Amino acid sequence: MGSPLRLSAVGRDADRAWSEVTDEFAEADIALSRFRDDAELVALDRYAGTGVARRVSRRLERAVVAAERARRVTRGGFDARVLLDLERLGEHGADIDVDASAAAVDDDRSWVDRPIARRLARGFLSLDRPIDLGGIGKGLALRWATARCERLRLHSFLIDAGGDIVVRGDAPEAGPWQIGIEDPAAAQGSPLAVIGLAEGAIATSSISHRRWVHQGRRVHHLIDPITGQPASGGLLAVTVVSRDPAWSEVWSKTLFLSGRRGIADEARRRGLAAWWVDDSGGLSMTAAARSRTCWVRAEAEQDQRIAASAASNSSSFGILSPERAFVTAAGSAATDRRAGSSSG
Amino acid sequence: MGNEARRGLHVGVLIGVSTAAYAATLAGVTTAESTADRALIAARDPIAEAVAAVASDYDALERRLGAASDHYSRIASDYAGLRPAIDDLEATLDTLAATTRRVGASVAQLPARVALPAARSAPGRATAPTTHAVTRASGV
Repeated sequence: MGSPLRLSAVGRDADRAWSEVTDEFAEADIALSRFRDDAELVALDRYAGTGVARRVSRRLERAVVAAERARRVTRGGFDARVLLDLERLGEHGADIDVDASAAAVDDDRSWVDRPIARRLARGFLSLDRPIDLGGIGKGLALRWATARCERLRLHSFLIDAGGDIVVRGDAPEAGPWQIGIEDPAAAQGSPLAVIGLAEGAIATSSISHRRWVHQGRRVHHLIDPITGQPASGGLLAVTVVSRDPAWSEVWSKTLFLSGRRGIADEARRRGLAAWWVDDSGGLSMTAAARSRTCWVRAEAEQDQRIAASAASNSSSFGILSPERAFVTAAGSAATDRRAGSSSG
Repeated sequence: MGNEARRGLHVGVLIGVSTAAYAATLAGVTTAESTADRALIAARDPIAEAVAAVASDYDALERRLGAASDHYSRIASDYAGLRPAIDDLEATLDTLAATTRRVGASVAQLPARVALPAARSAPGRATAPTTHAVTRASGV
């Protein structure tokens, strides 16, 4: 799925779990990718708009059903039918013989209120418009890989699929897993914050990757289904934690579309643990996110400034942040496996 | 027969004829009156039925008014029973209002800023703790 894959696991079946995870991602890739000419989704997309119902695998059927449910729950904030918009903006996947005129002119977006697919019978789908499952596919693959690990009775593990992460149980150091949030302005630098997570899934939608120039205009891959244009709400990145990786992925994209003005209300209304970075570089978060956050770079820098000021002037007044509870690793007993994906 | 005798006979016949004419006239008048009375009675039937219907509706209205009056009496009785509780609630609200005013006054007297004593403490961790993974833009 175009992302490096990594498993950190504690237990005797770690090697077998790694095999299960890589198998799951390989199978999800061949079913859900839009970049592989031999992918099942690409074959289905080629019949979009023809009225023909194609027989699909159980995996692709579940993915399409999940994408449709995400569309309904987010009230259209998430919509897999942005594929033609991506193609129009210059991000091309496998050739699906898209009608050039249909891809170029798409002002009538009345289809956003209709289901993304018709399920004529179990295993038979018909599309009116081609779909891109990139906004949920990796989350689903993580969901299914997690289930396979749990069937092996693996209680403590972390699966990292290129930044979308699932954790279960304790970290090797017997504390919560520590997950950093990448600074979208400095990918190689210090994380903006660190989250302690014992069980759950975390996903980030950001425009620090998959952005390009199209006809002299800077565009990116996070498309607003209502307008067909890249979202331009003043946000750089949105991170969401939930129990399920697919929903973390869906909500991170949906919240991104809310923009810097609407994201706080939307996230709190949905009760989401969400962190977001606006175009000034500032990190904000919901109360649910705050309770999971164990380190924030901006606060640490402020602490340092106050401490330096207090040291130079004993009459200074200030409130220092309390020492944050944190577990550091003295060594890792975890089995760590990494792999690159085969496609994308 | 002399003229005197014929006069008597003529008077008798005249009286008989007059009586018969009177009787016939009386019978005709009686028949005419009977016909007029039947027509009047027939004309008054709808009015009588309407009067009867109005009387029936009036009876029903009277019964409903009686029921409403009973209901009102029960509600009035219930309200009278609640009145002490309402009085207590109003008294409690008055007390709460007075307490709120006192709290407001106390808050107004608090200083806007409080100078804290100098505190020396170990600052928070300056660098990010070791992480097991980093979430980022996930690519495709």
